[in-house]
Amino acid sequence: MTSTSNAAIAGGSLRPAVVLGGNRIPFARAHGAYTGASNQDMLTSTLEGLIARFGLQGEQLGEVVAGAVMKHSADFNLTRESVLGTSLAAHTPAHDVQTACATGIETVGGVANKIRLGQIDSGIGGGVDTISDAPLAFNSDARELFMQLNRARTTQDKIKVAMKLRPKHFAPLAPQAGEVRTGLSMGEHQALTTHDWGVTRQEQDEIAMNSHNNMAAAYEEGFFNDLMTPFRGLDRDNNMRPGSDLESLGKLRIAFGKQLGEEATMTAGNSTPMTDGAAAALLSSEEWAETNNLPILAEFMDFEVAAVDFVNGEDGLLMAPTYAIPRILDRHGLGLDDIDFFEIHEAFAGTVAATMKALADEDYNKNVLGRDKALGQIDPTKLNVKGSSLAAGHPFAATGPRIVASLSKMLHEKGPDSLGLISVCAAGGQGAVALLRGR
Amino acid sequence: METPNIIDSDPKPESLRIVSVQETPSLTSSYGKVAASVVRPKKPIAVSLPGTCWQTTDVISRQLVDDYNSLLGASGSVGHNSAPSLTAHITAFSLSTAMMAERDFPLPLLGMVHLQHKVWHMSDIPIGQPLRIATWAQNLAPHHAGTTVEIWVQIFDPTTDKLLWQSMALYLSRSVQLPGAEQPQRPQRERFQPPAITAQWHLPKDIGRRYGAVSGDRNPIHLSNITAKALGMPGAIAHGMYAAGRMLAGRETTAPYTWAIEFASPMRLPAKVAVNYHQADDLELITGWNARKDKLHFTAEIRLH
Repeated sequence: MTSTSNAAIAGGSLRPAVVLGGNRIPFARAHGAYTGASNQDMLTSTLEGLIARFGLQGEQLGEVVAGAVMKHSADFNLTRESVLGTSLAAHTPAHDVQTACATGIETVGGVANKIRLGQIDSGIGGGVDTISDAPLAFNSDARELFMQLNRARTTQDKIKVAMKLRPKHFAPLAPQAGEVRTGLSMGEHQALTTHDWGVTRQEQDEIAMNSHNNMAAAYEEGFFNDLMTPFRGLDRDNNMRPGSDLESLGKLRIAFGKQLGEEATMTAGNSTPMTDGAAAALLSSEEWAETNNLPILAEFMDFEVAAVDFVNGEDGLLMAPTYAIPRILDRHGLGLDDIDFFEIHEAFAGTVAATMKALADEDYNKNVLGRDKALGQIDPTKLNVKGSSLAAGHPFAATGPRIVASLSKMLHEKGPDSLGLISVCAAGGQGAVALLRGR
Repeated sequence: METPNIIDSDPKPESLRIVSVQETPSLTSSYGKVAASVVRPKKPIAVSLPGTCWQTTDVISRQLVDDYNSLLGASGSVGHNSAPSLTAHITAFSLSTAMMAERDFPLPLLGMVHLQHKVWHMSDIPIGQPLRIATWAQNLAPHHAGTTVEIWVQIFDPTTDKLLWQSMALYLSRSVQLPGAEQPQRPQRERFQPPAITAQWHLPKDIGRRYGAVSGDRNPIHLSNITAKALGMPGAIAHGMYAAGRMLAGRETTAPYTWAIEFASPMRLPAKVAVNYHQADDLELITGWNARKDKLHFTAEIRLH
């Protein structure tokens, strides 16, 4: 620590954590362009792109924090191994985080908090996920047999155990798409919430159309030029469909909530597909940015997590951000009207619509959130203005850092003291939201 | 919201003759015994219950609790050395079944339909410690499809004689009519209106064998299509008590509480069961059904006291 004053954790005062920029590789639809690329490959490339952009070769950063939702057991030190594969100084520590789709907000938020406390001066928060190289495991019966085999001492005992092996023991166990406690897939859960909130097919298709068209426009204006490095032949997200329209989206068949019959509204067009990719954001103290002559885009002010009771059907699985958003805004004395950009992660268009409806609903605010009145309406012209997950795709842990980097740049372009709010829902009925201020 | 419609009955073991059993026969031997008698079936006229109360001393083993939890998931906040509610049923079930397999029991064991089950979980039940178990049959009653009987179980702490747990299972025998009793009308059932799906169970085709291995209940109707068809079923069905275990998983709480389940139609394996959990204060209602056919499988409740 070269700073002259005490770190906050040692009795000094808190200091701002600022975002200097970010990097990601284009996101690719699963089992496509990135087939054969591992989490470590993608995270290392993403970090190396960030290092190159900010001239950090040979630098020792305070810490690199990243994670993957779907991780091979051998990748227990995924982030540290990735850091060792980059040109950062080998003395840069790293750790892994996993909180489902909120992982990426938690990694960035953790780095920001350490910077604010004066424990580190600089750091990277990141995330990566692959569906194409998802971990497959032996089923529990087979694991038990292999463990018995391992424990067997004599050849005779080993043969006895080996004789018990059957073809069924070699059927791999794939990661579950369903919620562990309910057995319902995330899409089926969202279909219930979408239906409860009376979100129409048209509302969802409009959110999807805007996401694709906003992101295509952002690519056209070069917005992503300093936020992305090409990877394996891709230079933009291959899920994005420029020129999306309501007519073609309206023709798609129902994918989730089929039991709702005529009232089902969710399709592959207004739901985010499985995606591979990685993203990272560079954060530091103001002093570190100045010393290294790097411009500041935004301040990472705060983040908040929440969880809901979806197991008994009282709350929608993906509605935790509706609890976290009022809490973080209250803490800073802000209202929805103060926010210039809303980045609501589009797990499904229905999630975005239901979140907005819930925040504006008097009953929900009073009876569920325990507030005296509705938080208010979110201006749709401020929502996901550079596109979001429906267009880019959603490699689970990578979504948080993707949004932090993009939003920081948007806020910097908007001007000092502009405000941005991020909302990311997650499996397990959890969610994370974050508040950023432009510089 | 669907609620289980459980008969209102009180345990009446007082005037019964005690039959003390040193070692409970295994379920498989009981089934074998009655399978042999299929050749020479009981007369299809029920007369009366044997008037006995079977008693034994047994333990809920740690092994059973571990196997049960690994099949069904943790039971909930039942405490460190406290047995999940269904392991008490499993431990007592072989005694009840041995009693029902006796020649003087008026209803044939095989082909008996489990209609409903209610459990009063009054106190924590210690694992691995001796328990006094009593079981008896009461209330032979006419039913629109045959004759029903209540099988009761009570589990006591043998040193204090404190009643820890009791259950009432209602079974139907289709092949037996009570002499002289008037056959009640089939009650009008309202068409099942499925509630919202809040969970879904995927029951694999070997779940009958798996639950059979844990519980010892290897009734052939649960094991495979072939063995089930041999007993006149269209195919293997899940154990009703497996559904009870599933609906209780993670929801058991500190005693006292009661739970009950009423079975409407069997779950043919493999099965995809749509489930609704609905909580209202101290009562949780659980409904399970086939979403493709809108056909009710069961309704259940867990009630805190």
